[in-house]
Amino acid sequence: MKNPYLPIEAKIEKVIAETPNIKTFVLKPKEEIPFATGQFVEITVPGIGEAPFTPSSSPYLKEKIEITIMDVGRVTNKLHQMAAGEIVGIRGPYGKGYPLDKMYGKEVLILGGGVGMAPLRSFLLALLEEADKFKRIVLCYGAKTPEDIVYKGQFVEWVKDKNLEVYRSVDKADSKWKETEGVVTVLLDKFKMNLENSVAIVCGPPIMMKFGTKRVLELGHRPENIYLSMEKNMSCGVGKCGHCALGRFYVCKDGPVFSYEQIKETPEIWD
Amino acid sequence: MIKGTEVYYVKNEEWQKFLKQTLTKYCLYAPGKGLVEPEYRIFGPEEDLSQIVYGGARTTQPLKFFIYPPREKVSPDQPSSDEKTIILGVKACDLKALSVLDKIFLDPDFPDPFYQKRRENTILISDDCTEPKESCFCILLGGNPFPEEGFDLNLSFLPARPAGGNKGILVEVGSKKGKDLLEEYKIPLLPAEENHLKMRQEKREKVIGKLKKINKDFKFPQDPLTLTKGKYDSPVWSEVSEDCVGCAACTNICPACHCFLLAEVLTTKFEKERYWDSCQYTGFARVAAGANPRKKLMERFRNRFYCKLEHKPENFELLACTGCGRCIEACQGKIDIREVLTKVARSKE
Repeated sequence: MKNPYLPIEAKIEKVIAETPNIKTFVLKPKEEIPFATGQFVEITVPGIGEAPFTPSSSPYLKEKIEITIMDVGRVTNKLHQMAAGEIVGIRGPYGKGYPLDKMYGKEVLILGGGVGMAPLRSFLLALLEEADKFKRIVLCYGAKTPEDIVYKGQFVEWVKDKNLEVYRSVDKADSKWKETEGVVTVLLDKFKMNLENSVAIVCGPPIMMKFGTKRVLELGHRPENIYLSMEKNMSCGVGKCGHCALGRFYVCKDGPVFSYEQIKETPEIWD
Repeated sequence: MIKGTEVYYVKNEEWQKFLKQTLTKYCLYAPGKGLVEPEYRIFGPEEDLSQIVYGGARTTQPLKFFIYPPREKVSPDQPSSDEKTIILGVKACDLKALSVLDKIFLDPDFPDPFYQKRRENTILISDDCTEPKESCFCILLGGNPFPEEGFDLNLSFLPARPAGGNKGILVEVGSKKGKDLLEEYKIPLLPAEENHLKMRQEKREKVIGKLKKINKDFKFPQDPLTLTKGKYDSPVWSEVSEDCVGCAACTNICPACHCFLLAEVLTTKFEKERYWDSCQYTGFARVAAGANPRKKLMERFRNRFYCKLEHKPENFELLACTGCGRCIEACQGKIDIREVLTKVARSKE
């Protein structure tokens, strides 16, 4: 009988500093962990604790998994002190990812904020693998300052990618910043989408999720075509421990990706 | 025999003999005489089985203790115990609650091997509730004080007729596991007669009468879905949670509460333990960055009701409150769930 609580050992191959408080960990698990983009895994720091993360790497990358982690709590703080060669545990993948099949032939809007770009990078990389299947891909990303932007090197490539339109903003610009200054939602006024044939994917900190979703709705995107990656306290990952309850749903099993239509009547979604 | 059920008449002394025989293979837990009221005890092969207390009401200890212990190591260990267990004296309210735990822990997507193994190795012998407590209210939530499903065997004790004569038991078979146990020890089974079933029915109705009397002051709709629907933002929740101190006694003692904390043991070997946890604690839903959907005590108090009366029925068609009343006894704020439900029923949206 499979024990769902037992992690697989994974070696930290590389640690990439993204911002002053965000690092990407390249992990090589002992066994491959195939996942669908948007699904999450539980990472164990032995003797310290466990926390849920959505991989930021492409689901097409098989033997390695990349996890982008902000230093915010006990487990992530310990992770930030770890270096290449050290061992962590990994369980998963869990939950429901992004329904790519429902997005074929459509215009795809990706709206991300801060470290919320992590699952969106995985999603974007999955889209770019079969870019011809999507009518259009637009990425809007916002961070606090230019320094807080993740995947800085990769953005340089994305901007050049003819399959992708990229818009970026920072809340507070510095002298070198030539792009938009302001909250990420202002980027949405810079282009028009065919709302009859589009989907919007939103991921970021709670406040950005709330206002991002609100703005996307105001622009006319339909609730059933808006996908949110919900952050709750997913602990067991298998729908038992109750910590990630969101109304009648468990985010770990029923999510973490929900359509806005699914949860719009549920209280507490932005808290 | 009643249509669709398998009920036998067993002489009391044959039952005692049978139970004694099972002890060579099974570990028996049964309510024995306790300090204040009957408590669960292990009965070994040398022990006097006449000390077992049949009937009465549910014990203070919920059934979940046996299948889902308060603390358990779940990694890197695999379930190891093959111990066969019989749990005797389970009441209808606890069987119903176990069906909720089954939905969670035996979810086909991720069956919990620890729970599954224990569940498979446990035989549940229930019996009719004969003396409901002041806190009992199963009948207000569509339940009955006698088991109707979820048991392997159910016992209904019949009065001696004529007085002083042989006492008998009606043994109802609820599963193959139960039937196999009867056959394994070749207990003499007699057909249940019409008057036996009538006696059982009369006894059961008497208990329902007692429960009605106990609960005469409480009124709320039988279908709790209509009770909480649309009441989420009602000021009634602040009122009814006024005396709550957030101690979590209610969820710990609840036979249907299943939430746990998966904690890391302080070693380097990926050792994990799970402990019962409670949605009543401040940090239960908090995430690392600090966001907490239920910061206020009232919100956590309300959550317990919505989980039990709305979310579990929506997901599993099962109420996660079976009217056992343990939370009423355990509450240091003297909060009575029946009063809460009565007030919620009366409140406006």
